[in-house]
Amino acid sequence: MNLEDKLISSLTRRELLEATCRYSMLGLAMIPVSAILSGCETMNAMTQVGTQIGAASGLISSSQAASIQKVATATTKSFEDFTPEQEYYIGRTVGAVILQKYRPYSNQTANKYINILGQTLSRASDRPQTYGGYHFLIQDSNEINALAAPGGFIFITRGLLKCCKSEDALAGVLAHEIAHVQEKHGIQAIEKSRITSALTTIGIEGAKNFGSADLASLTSTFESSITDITGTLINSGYSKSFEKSADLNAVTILKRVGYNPTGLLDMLQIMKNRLIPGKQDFGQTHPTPNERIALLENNIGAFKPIQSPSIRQKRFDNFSRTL
Amino acid sequence: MKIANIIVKQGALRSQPSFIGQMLTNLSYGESVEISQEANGWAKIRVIKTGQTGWVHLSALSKDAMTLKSGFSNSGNSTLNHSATTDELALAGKGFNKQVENQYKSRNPNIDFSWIDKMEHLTISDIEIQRFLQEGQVYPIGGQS
Repeated sequence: MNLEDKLISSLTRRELLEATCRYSMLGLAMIPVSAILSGCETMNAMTQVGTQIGAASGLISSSQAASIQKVATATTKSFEDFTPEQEYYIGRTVGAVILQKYRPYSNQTANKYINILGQTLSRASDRPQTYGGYHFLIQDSNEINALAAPGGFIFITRGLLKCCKSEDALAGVLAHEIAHVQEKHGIQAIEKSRITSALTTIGIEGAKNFGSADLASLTSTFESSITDITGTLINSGYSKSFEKSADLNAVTILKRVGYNPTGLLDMLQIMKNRLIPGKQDFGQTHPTPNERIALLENNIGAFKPIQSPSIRQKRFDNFSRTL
Repeated sequence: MKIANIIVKQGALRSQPSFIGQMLTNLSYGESVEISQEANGWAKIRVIKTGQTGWVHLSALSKDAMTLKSGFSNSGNSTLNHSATTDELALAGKGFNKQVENQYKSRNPNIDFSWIDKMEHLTISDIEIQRFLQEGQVYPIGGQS
């Protein structure tokens, strides 16, 4: 086993950082003291100096230096460092857990319609491409709810769809959920310590396959991350600032595609009369419809009330009859 | 010139920097591209392997595009460039991945992924979207007014 393998497979992260320091000190004998002091001000700076010197002096290879630096900087990573592929796998499992609470509504025609509409809208978002794309599924529940799992898995209950009286209104609901995906609100619900833990394991492991211990550890972190997200989506909801951002981004998406954003207002007016206090639905996880209506009225700009072309209203009515 | 990689399963290459631009082809995960221009969230690119050009949204590209050094061959055959790209992609493939999902499934056999798989299998083509917009008389910004 070479030096890098020993470092990567057998040392804990702390041991690895200590080992990095030892390399640094070996190399530091070759440079002025002033450089030593300035280079040791932080662990990352220490690591960088040490690994560069270690590589330059032949003590470690450049790839070994890169691996060590990668581990050292893992502690400073955030949710933004999850790759689209990792976000996709998180989203798949979050979606599967959500579907335990709300069962799917298996009407193919209805699901095809919201997928065409939803995918059209997603292409006009600031994040039209996720690793696995955007996908939409109706849930067989009269509760008023919609949930966006990371990576683009979006779920809407029949109860919420029934609050929509036009395609423009439905587009508003879908655009709001797309905006949550665009802004990566889902993975921001993961506790920061778990993100650090996961990315450190990934950094240590680098391009190799996971060993059983690392896989078990990472899977535990994965399970906890899923619980963080589903707990937020289903029980506590996002912060008001996230919801505000999702509404405003939804308006941008709607305008780009050519839908009237007042559709979202129409939907909220109906929703506010249908929400039942105490239910675990939009009433619990979102700002009140009145708060959202006030925000939207101040930001939509001059739009006339919706007058859908008859052919658009007809296809929406056909969709509504399937619910 | 910067080199980047496609980091989504299917990266749409379009004729214009717009979601209503004609789709030329889908680029596969890992495909190396050369960026010549960026505008409003889109990158004008050349596919290194085929030489095809077009526009890809930045959300489909790796963030850490590398700047080519002067004298660097644009053929994509450079050992240095190829090695760095492969490392980054390999790292991207780690973490929460299929291996972790399978382990999760074995620990949680009651969680059913079949509908998640069905969701992914329902694909919508560009042609269907164009027809949907036209039939519903929905006119995107930059499209028919």
